[in-house]
Amino acid sequence: MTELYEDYNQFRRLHPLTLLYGLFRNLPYILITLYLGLVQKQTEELFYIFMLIFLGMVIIPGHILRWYYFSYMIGENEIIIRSGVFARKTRNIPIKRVQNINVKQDVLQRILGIARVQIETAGDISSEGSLDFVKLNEADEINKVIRLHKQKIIEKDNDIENIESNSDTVSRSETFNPTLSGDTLFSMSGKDVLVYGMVRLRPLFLIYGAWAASFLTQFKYVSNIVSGYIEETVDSFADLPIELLLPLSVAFLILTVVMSWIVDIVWTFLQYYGFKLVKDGNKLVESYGLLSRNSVTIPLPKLQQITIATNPVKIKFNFYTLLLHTAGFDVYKKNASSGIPLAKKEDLLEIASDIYPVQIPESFRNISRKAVRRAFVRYLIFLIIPMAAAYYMIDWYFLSGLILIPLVYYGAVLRWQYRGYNISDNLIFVKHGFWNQKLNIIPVDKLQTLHVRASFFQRRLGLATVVIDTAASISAYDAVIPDIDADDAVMILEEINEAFLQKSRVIN
Amino acid sequence: MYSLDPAVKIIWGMGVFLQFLFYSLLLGFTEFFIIPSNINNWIVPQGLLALIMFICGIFLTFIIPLLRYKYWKFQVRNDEIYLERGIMTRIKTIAPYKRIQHIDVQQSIFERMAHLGKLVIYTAGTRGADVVLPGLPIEYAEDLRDKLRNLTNEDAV
Repeated sequence: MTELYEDYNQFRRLHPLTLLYGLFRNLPYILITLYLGLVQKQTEELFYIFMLIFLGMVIIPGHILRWYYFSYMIGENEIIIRSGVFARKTRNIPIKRVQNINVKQDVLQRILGIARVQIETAGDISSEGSLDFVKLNEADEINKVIRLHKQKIIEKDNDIENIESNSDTVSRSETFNPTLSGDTLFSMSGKDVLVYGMVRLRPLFLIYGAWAASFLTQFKYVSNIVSGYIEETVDSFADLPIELLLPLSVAFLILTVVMSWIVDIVWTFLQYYGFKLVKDGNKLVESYGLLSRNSVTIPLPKLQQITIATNPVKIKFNFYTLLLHTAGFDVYKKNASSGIPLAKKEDLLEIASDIYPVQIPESFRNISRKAVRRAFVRYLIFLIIPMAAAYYMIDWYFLSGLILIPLVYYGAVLRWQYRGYNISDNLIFVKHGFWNQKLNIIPVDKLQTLHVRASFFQRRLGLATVVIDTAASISAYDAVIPDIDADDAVMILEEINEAFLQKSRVIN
Repeated sequence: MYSLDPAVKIIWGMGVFLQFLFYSLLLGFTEFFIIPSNINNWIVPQGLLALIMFICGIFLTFIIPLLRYKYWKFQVRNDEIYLERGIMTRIKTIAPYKRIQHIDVQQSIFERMAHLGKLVIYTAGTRGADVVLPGLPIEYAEDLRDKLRNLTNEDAV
């Protein structure tokens, strides 16, 4: 063991295979550039020449230099990470403050036998560190060494001051992330994951279609092929009898949606295969992935907000999703959807109560009915302006869009119906959404600041919006009670604040 | 409820004025040098938009600080600081002392001349995380900072 300490007590470089990994990762871009620049001889496009020069002179040597100048060491009291080619940066992470160590591997890293080690601390992002990449067994060793160092520090602190109670020591040393041990709260079989993929129903074709289009049209060569293909297709469509046009376009649309659905299923299967949620002391550990292995740690004391989400299709099968939001530090920003991907309502609520004791209220208070009016006007503007423009510039038949107005009104009513809130038992419940239905649960003691906001238009109707700000990184809608009576809003503000103060007094 | 120090109106006014000066210079520059003059003159005489912008700016230089001052109220309560502000969108904010991670007094050059300072309260929140209390007499701001500093909580997540 002492040898291990010695090994890590001096500056070490990352694993040399990191370089190969970087090369592999950039291979598609490098190949495309090389192909277009050298094979296709599109030399009139200066862009590719620049890219080639950039590749040869900057990116590849940059990789090597960065690797050469990156080193880390694990001392008795702190982890030191040095990086930077021109501007040297030294990051000291006190071992005392280390909360979790996450080890992650994707497919390529798995083949190469390397892993990423993320060191998370309680507190700000500036004291977090990531080692990309070390050998897998080194990752385990690093984990072990840091854990033992921390244990020692805690023991020493106890010897000298002898203030911290024994139970505290246990919980503190448990805030590490060793291999998966603890009670399995939830796991998914292959079939479960497949079902999850089926009901996610994300409009992937819109997102990735747009992305692919914008990416591909950057290259003249590709975009020529594509536009040629589109022209041909359109031409062949034009030759078809007119009666077939409508059924064909409907069929095409259905095909696109089905394709996107299948892609989503495959994608979800690869990502979530073998999903397991384990409770280990005061933290949750999630692991999942078929080709890539991911293990994410959620320290429960840092839990900011819980969301139970579903959509109309999921409801048909009684399926719900649980999302856990922790403080918005680096790692979680990319991985905010920690929790339970899909479970039956009863199971989900049972697991949720293991994570955080929650009693879902039976009824919710509606927001003001005047919100319908506001939403209607807002939607109407979005409908009318493009329509008026089309009418003015193209033809009168765009006015037929006016028949959508009742639909727009119905949308506004739906939006109002599905919104609700409830404050009880030191928990704030906010629900919203018709398609993406979400119930957000915010523990009162997690609030950071509270606001009541009233825009000019809201004030005319006597409305206001309550905003509950926590440290969770979530979308702006999830901790907001919009469009309630202005007096109620102020009352709620005071009520929540009072609850917060009481709760924090109890804790201290 | 306290109001801010009235001198803050001058500082705000300067801010608004400088902002509009910048925009009207930018607009004027665009009109004279970037848009070809034959096109520009066809729509409006060259420089007119910039002039209008500048006149509006002078007008707002007086109006905005007055309104902003009128609606800016704060209260230092036992457990929290309470603010009210906003001309078009009115915002009421509660920032509990328990949630203060860090607290600062900042002074711009104009504020230094007017012996004013602004108290900036940093929390771990993600939206509108930093609560700013402008236009306080500098001694008061510093006293408040020292008083609140004792109540801060570094690990407030």
